[in-house]
Amino acid sequence: MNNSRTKTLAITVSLSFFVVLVRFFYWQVIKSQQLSKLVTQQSYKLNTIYPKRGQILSSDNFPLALNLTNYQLSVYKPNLTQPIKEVFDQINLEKPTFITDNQKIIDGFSSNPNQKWVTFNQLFSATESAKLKIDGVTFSEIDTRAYPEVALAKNLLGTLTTIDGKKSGISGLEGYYQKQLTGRLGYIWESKDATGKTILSKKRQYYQAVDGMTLHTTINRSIQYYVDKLLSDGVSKYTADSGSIIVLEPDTGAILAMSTINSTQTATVSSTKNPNIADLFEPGSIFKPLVVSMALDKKIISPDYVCSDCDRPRQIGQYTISNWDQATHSNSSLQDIIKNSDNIGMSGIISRLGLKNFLEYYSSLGLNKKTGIDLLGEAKPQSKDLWPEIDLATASFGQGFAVTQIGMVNSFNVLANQGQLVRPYLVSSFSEGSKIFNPKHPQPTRIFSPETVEKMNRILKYAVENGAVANFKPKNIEVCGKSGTAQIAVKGAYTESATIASYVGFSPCHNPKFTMIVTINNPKTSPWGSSTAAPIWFELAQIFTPLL
Amino acid sequence: MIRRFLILVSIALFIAQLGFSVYYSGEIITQNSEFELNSTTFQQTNLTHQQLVYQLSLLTSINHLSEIAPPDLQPIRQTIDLSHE
Repeated sequence: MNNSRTKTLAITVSLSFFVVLVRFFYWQVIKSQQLSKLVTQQSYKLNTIYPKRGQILSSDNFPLALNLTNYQLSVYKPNLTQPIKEVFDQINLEKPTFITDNQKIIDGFSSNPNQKWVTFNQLFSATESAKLKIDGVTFSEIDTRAYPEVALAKNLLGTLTTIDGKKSGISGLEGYYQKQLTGRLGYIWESKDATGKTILSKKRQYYQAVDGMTLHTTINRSIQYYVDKLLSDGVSKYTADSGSIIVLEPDTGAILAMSTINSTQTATVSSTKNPNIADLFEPGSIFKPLVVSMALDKKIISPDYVCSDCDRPRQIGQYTISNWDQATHSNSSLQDIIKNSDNIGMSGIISRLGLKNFLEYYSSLGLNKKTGIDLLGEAKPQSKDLWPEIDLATASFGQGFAVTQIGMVNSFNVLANQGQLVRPYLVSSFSEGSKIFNPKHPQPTRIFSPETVEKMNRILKYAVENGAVANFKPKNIEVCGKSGTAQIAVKGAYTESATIASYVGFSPCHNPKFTMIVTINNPKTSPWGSSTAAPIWFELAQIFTPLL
Repeated sequence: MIRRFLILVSIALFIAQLGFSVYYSGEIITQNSEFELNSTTFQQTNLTHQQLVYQLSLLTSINHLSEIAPPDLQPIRQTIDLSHE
């Protein structure tokens, strides 16, 4: 009996051990990898460290775009310990416009018993969220981009969009320098206790996040402010559709200010398009000084040139070239051709220059390609293969081809920069901590000889002081510039009702401090560049003179 | 005699082990708590710094200065002077 019991006990114990061993084998051998993974997951945590997006600074190191952590408020009804109205009243005490701004959402949430949860779009600062410790009210962190100067240079800075939780630039500097501004993700791999807190005594791996670089731009805040303000006033005063201005430093191509303002009536504000670099327009008479410079540079004409057939409109096939005021100026000198903006005289000069020479200069001035400015969205001018005689004639006064505003001012800047073409740019350097990187800029390209430029600038100075804009020019500043009024082509024909009025120039004529273009799109009070764009140009020039 | 001695040594070792564990686990917990606290303070300081930079930028922005300045100290004339026209 006893023997039988002992045997049974021995077998039971042995079987139990066997079952335990089989189980051990299962967990420790077969499931080994899966379990060790699980242990690692449970006892270690991998935290992602997000880098801060780089700041964008103006030329005086003022932050034009920076990062700000804000908080988004949510309310969860089941966790509330006080009436819902009192909760919103408390929130409103901290943020006085909260109830007014969110009245509809609050009413809907309060009256619907089935809706347990609501999140508001309105953002709270760190201080505000810290003060609102209410049961049932929670805050989640939201990283936002802040612009202390509000709308200043907004077109240049560009816009951000969120793709897969990551902020990505889609236009302007934010888009062009996306890689430099983004930085690199960092990670922390560390052991944690049951509550999820870090155990310092255990192994820890830390890969530091690299914050995005800071962009140091050439934007002059004061100049940008004045440009925005006066352009806005101008668009409103001349009841225009829109207006654009670019100011650049002649010898470097550094952009000091760039702006486009749309009128409220015809606002076509786009968050991604910058008209200064994306819109093409026919430049009109502001192109004339470049054609004269081409002819002077090729020595086809001299400053003593006199137009012997300017006493009548020029006939080219079925087309007639006449002047803007239908007047004719017999025996017009070269400087009077520019002063009077004489289309007949200009068509004669380009005819002497010839198509081959014209296209050579046209190409070397970069008018058939992008300038390469460091902004996303620059348009490429359409190249033209066929140039019949009439097209060459109209090109002499800036009609029949289209350029961007940045392309036009950059090519005109050749006259301000002793005949050399530079590439316009906005970012002068990047910095990462104490390290500073300077982007390489191409060497200036010579287009016109210094002698040609000197001759041309004397003509421009004469035209400013004796032409239609003479009354606007402040006495204390010297200006070399040209106004232009271009017709707008609609469905292959020029419309009589709308123009693009422009003024381009630099000041002073010797060693200029700035080159500027003002373009007013479809002004209703007067169609002429000399009476719309020019007053804005000269007003700004007077302001800039002591600043630069 | 030897048995008693061994029991006493075992008890002494046990107490020493216990004391050692309590002391060092307490130390680890203290360090962990300090780490958590410092991390939170660091984050808060960063946020405060970020807010202060933003507030300072707002207060020194041309946009703000032009809004608060009296008319005679405005940084810019409000309209274009077209008296020459």
